[in-house]
Amino acid sequence: MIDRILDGARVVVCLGPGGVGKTTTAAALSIAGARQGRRVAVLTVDPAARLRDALELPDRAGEFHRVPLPDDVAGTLDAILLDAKGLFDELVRRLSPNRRLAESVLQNPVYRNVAGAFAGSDAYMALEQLLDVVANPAFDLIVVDTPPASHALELFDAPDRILALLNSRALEYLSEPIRILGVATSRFTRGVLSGVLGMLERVTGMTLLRDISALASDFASVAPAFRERAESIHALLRDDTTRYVLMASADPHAARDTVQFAADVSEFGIELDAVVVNRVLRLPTPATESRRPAEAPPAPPARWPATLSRNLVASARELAAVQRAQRAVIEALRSGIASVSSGNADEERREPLWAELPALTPAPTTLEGIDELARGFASAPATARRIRG
Amino acid sequence: MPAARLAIVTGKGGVGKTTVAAGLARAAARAGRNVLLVEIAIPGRLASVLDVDELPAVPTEVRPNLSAVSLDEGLALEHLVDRLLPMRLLSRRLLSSETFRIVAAAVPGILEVALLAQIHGWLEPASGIRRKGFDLVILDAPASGHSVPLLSSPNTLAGVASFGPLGDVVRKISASLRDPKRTVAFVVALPEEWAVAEAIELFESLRDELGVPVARPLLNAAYPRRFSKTDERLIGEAEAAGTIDPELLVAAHHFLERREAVHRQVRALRNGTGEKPVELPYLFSPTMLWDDLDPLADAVQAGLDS
Repeated sequence: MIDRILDGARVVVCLGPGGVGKTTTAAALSIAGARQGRRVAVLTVDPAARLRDALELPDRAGEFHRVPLPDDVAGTLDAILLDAKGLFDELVRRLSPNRRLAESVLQNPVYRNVAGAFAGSDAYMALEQLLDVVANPAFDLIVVDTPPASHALELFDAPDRILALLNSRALEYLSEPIRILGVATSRFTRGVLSGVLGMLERVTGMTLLRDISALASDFASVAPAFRERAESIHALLRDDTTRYVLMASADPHAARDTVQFAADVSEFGIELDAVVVNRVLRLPTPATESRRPAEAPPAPPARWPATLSRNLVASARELAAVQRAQRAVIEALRSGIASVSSGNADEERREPLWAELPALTPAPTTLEGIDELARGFASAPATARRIRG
Repeated sequence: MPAARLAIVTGKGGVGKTTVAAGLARAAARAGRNVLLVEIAIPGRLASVLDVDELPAVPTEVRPNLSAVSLDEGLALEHLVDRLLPMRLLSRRLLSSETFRIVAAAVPGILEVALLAQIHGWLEPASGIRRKGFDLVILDAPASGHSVPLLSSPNTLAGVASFGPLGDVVRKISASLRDPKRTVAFVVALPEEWAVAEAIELFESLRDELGVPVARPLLNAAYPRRFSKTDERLIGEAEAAGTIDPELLVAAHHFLERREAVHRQVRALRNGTGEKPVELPYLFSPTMLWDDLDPLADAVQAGLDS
């Protein structure tokens, strides 16, 4: 399964709603890539403390760190923790025509308070970071663990939103707060409105309008460089060598979110390459199943305490119910995702690969555990069929 | 059950916040309180639990003693601006401007404060049709990464708007969020290391940094304790002797493993927060509708009252 995702891939993006195990799976995919002998970089966002320890990530975000892999791994793995605010500061510095201007932006109280409200989100910053890493010749495979987002839109929309903002006249308006009211420029109206704005500042107790206006006019000169980057991100996301893995859970409550997520992705013209259902209860199939009629409960050993016997039978029944529910969810995911990712009807389209990963108790939080998951990934049965759209 | 009138349910994505919020609502509603469930995180989740197509943008009774609403950012901002600007014409004009929305989004914390102001408005007696406010407002809050900015927004905004009417609103909300008689936050976790680590972090920032009263942590989807030490020994012996049905054995191992995970995470939560967590049961039923939530409501009630 894993080869079919990684072969020919330069970037692998792990998507999915929160809580489905994106970070752990991204780590497993990266190790699998390194096992193929590739030089892998993994961009990760806010991993749980023990996973962070397992990857030996430094406390400081925004720096690459070589992950010590077992000796039999041919490739290498470097991990970097996303530092949204720091990255944006750095971009402002790098893209500003001069240092004075950069400092003026960075010192602006509004900028400092909103930590890059122009950028909007961690999602956008993850993509900015991705752009830098892709340009780095030290890596030939980049795995991206996307930030928690309730919508795929947040991620794919990010560059377009920035472009829209930069292309709109908003910045221009903002540098002249009076135009916030969108009013023509008769001197009389302007006079009245300055008065009103002055009152607004007194009412709200802010010097904010002035700060925003200063920020906007400073930012205007950085804008073209940001625009260029946003366009590069847009292209990278749609490149043939960029692969998308949608993570899902077999939890009935998350199914709807996952299908919605897939629908959003498809709306952006992006095709899913694989869907991985995580934490699937996979139990050894009892040999007795064939011996017994399907509905008859298994019998506990004779002469056991009644409570124990009752509890055993109840546990078996509940476990079977959970498994049945998970199968139903996976089926619902399959048909739901197939119906939303219709793509271009004239072209041959590919159904994504499907794979299931087992529920591990406890969830893997050590390098060995993740490596094991990576091997499980490699051997996970994948299913896909080519269909005509 | 919480004596406070605003209950904020939060936790990492995927831990079951919506279900727990609904369970809390069910417990309070059946005890006769007039409850409002507020959806802010993922539109649609709560609607599917309540088995309605879509939640309305104004509080609407969906079950006896239970109203629900999907909180809209734009609407909340509109109400806030209306409240701050006495001139209606001006506020209309301001709100209809795209640029204002961008400016508003850049004002640190303004949208969040607008949401909180709207929620607090529902707690106050309203003039007009509904005479009294809701007894309890339950907020199905966004995942932890977004909850902290939401709840710290009054402080952020207070930094730039220290006086004037907006300053008054901000101070009022901020005081209410710290008042145990008015507000309580619930941090939800799953019996998994990743969820518990984040729950502890969230618990600490709510309690220690923001000063928001936090209830005992809720450990959701906890497997019950099915087997005693003696049971475990008997099962082990039967396994060795090959006298136990393999299907039962698999189930026994699964429950023992999951119970051990619960045990470990209860300990981790207690060590991390200094509070004894409340275990909420794993619901084995595949449907999760309002009428199935009694076991959850019972557990929340029993846990919080003990």
